[in-house]
Amino acid sequence: MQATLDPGSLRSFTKGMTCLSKYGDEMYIFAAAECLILSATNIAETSYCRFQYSRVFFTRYNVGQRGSDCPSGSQEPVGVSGQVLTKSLLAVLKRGAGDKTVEKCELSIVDPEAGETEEEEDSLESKFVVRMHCKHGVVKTHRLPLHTIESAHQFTDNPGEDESYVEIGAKMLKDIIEHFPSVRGNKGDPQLVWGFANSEVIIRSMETSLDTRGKAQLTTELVLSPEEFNQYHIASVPASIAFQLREFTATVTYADSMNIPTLMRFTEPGRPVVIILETNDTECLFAISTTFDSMQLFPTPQSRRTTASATPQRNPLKRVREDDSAEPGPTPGPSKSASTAVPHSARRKPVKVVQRQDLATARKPSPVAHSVTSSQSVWDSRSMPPPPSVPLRSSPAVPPSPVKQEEEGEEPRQEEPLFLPSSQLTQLEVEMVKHETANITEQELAEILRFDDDELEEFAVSDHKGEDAEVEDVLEIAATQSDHSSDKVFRPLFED
Amino acid sequence: MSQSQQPEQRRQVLSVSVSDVRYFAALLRGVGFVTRATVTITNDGFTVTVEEARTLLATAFVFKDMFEEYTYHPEPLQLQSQPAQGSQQTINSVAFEIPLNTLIECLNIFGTSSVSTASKTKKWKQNAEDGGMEYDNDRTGPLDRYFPSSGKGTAMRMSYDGTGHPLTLHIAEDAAGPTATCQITTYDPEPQLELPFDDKAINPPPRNRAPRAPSKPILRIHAAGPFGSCEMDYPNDREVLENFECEEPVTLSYKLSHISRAIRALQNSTKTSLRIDNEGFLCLQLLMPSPGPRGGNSEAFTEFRCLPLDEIHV
Repeated sequence: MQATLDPGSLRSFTKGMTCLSKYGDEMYIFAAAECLILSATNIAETSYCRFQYSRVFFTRYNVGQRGSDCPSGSQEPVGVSGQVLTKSLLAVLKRGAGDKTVEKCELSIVDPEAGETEEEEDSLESKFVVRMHCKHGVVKTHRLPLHTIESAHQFTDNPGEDESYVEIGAKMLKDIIEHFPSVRGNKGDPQLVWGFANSEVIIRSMETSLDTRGKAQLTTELVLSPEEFNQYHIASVPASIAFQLREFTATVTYADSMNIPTLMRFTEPGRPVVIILETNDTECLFAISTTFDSMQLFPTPQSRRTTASATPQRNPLKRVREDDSAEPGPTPGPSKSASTAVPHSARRKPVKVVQRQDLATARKPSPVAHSVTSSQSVWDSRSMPPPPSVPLRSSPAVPPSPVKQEEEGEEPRQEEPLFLPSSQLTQLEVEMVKHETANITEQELAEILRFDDDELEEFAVSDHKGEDAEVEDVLEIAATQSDHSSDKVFRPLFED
Repeated sequence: MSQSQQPEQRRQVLSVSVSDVRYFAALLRGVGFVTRATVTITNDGFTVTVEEARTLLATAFVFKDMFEEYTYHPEPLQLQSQPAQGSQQTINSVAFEIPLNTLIECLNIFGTSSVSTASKTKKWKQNAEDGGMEYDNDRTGPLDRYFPSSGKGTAMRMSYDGTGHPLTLHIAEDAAGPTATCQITTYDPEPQLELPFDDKAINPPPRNRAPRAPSKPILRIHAAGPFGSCEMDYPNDREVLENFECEEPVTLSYKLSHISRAIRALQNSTKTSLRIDNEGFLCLQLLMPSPGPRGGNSEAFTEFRCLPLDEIHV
């Protein structure tokens, strides 16, 4: 892979990588024939970020061996991939972007076999090479070790029917976010709760953890009009979502520096919010998982007790809510009531937005589940499969919303396994579980598998499963009570 | 004590004064990576030398023109109780060891020697570009250069009475303000690392300066580590390298932690000369900014000498 950047695009590339470095320490590189895709996810896998640079972004871009037209290019997807440490790449890029003498920047991936480029380098690993051509012929070359991707991250963007979307200008969003305290260090993880109603939008910061001294935290609330948004479409009013501020701030900063309007898409609490920044040569997708306690902005009867100490300024909101409560949203209604019954500590847990896929066991995203077992044996380490984060550009079967269609067409959904089996379960077990629960979807199956690994806290990760878990809980409690035979306990009281 | 009883015979060995210590402090800070430094005083100035791992030798040359006043009286030999083991040399130079970090901290006792050096760097660059010697942009009078630019400069008077006496510093910000008197203990000098640089071996005769093939890099600095490698290629261009002479291709390795000791001084320097002799011995001379011409050789510089890691690949 060779890509050449001029100083202007180098600066915007560096801005993108700065944003990406806030999402994760490892950067996954995939160079396809038409675009270069860089993605990252954080350790908790609650946020995911993907930058897709089309070839027109670069002054020169080609994938594959230099000068050799590969004849098998028709069948095999031409592409190289690997992962590098984001920080080391960013340190190189920042130096280049800040240096005014840089005239062009070359990014390339050098295979160890192609030793004709550098005669003295005879290492066995691939290198990601950043070469800065400066004024007066000064050349600065940085070689970063390029590791093979062991487990790729897969983000599946499947918007439902009830998807809401808002679009807001970058400067406006930056002004909004500036009011909320920025994250310094690892001390807190402030969340941002967004409430969308017909007449107003409420944004409030929320600290989910106390600081070291146990002091109360600062909560900031901002109310603005929906007219500030370029597009404002809420599927079921009022809607509210809550997500982590840390990664979102990085996205907003990037959007502001590039002056790209921000499109946010979301469905319901628990499903990730998807942010899309798109220009004609760049497409950035960010997914941040949302948490469940976002109902506080527009209190429902179930959650009213938590907002008993509501400030007076929220009173007009309650009226709005009462008007709207006559017609509850079609789909989120039951899930909301289900999630409120889940223990409060469990509801705070954000859901993973990406699925880790072990490339050693699953080679390609395959349409049917049983092909996972077949692909186990035939993985040639030479030919790297494209990471599943590559959008396959398949036309979406169901146009879910008036938003641009190509953003939705990430994967053929419902057909392939979204969650590939974790290492604890064998394929046989997967098949057994699948057989027993034949009527549930793949996603739910994956959720079940995850619950086997994790503890009860994870029950709230999905609203569907949260419902089931709650039922199970209730049943268990009922059983234990019946064992103790409450009749005997209470009888003396009645006799008295 | 003794000097007060015998004021006539016991003169100060060294007495210097300067109205602005920033240049002096910047010079010392460039070699301030080792706590113990050897100061050698001669008639033309003094040198401050530190060494690390018996491999790196860094010397700051402080010429007498840097100071407003510089008087040096060689130590009277008869007053020393030592036998004349090196009497021939000690006539012209006096050497002692001093905790260098303490000296730097004393110079910065009012907090004005380090803060201003950072902002001063730009002015130095400006002056170098303009070719002018103005001290500050808004004060261009002919006499103003003799005064501290912003009135914040720290003035210093330093004196040394001879072997066994402390180095005495009188530091004041201005005449009305407080004055600090610091006495820094001096030590007998340890034997120094001798790294004689072969000056003749690096200056080839002009006939050898044949132009090289443009494909090959002229000067390449390469570094490698666990997180990748980096190399910088410099062509033989007047804009890049003012002067470049090399007889034959040579590759030498130095320990990066030693070379990077020069970064502090390099950031402040205005010009750099890099030389490698036939034995792979690196000599890096950094021209340091100096307050301006008061006649004669007023340019201060710092020199780093480093031994190579590997055998020479020719």
